[in-house]
Amino acid sequence: MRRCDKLKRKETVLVVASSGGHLTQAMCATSTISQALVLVSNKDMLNGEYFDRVYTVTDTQHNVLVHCVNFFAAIRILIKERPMAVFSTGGPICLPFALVARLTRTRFVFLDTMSRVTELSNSGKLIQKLGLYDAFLCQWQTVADQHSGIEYHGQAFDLGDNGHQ
Amino acid sequence: MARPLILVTMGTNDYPFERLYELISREALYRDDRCQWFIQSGVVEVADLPASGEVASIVPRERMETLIRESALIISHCGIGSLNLALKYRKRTVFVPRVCRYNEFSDDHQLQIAAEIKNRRMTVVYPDEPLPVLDYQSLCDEPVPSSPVDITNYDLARVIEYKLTG
Repeated sequence: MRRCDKLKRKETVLVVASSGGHLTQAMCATSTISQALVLVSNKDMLNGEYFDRVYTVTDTQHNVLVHCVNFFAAIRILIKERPMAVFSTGGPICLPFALVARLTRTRFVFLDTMSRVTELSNSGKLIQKLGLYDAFLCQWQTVADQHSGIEYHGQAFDLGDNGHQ
Repeated sequence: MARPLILVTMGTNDYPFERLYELISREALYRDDRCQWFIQSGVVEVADLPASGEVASIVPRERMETLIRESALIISHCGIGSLNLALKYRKRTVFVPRVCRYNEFSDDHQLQIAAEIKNRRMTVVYPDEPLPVLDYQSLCDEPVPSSPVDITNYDLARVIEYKLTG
């Protein structure tokens, strides 16, 4: 897809991930990226480590009003940051950002959470159904096999024994 | 000798998890001040405090990593963040998955990931099962590795990097 040149994109990747496991996976998955990383999350618990800047939005699963508020927050943040791409590992706070990324023709890459072993997460299902992605990866082969266009390249971190005695 | 630390993590989501609190408070070591407890309680109200230790609803990531590093045992919900840190610091861990039927999450995905845990030092306690009986001496004998293992999957990270930055 052609990108909108008028946005004058920065060498920045916007990462959208809820606190906890989603954020852990996002940090693993972006660990080789040299560009600036800016985080959007529902809590700022990082003490300035890893990300260049952190924005917080309100967390919700089903509250449409909160998603609407976050939609306008997403517009504000994407206009301000002008990232070259948006990356998310979920949870539901990613939905308005996926939509605004599509509207502003910003590349959106989604990695569905490792905790969904047999089916996509609810956010993943919606992003997949609405086609709000440029690349969609999941972390289990059995999930990838259920959907065309979803790729599997392993898990964000090793679930093996790792030297445990 | 320092008292062995038992770290309890309930995660950062807004769902209740009183069941885990009830399980730990039934342990004899909960009343034993030879052990130190740290309970990250989330939205759970911890009315009955352990004999020794502290409670915090939420803990900054850096502090959580320090607590994980220093702990002799982790008792945790089955969240990916806790699983990652337990693997990284090679900790003996008891996972108690949150389940939908007790309104501990919106669905049963913690049971899905629990079924994938094959680590010999990790135990999963399924709904209606008791916690394993905790033994003071085995906690004292528990090795406390100070340096983390890098468990990041850099092959996946490079794929993501390519897709984001071309």
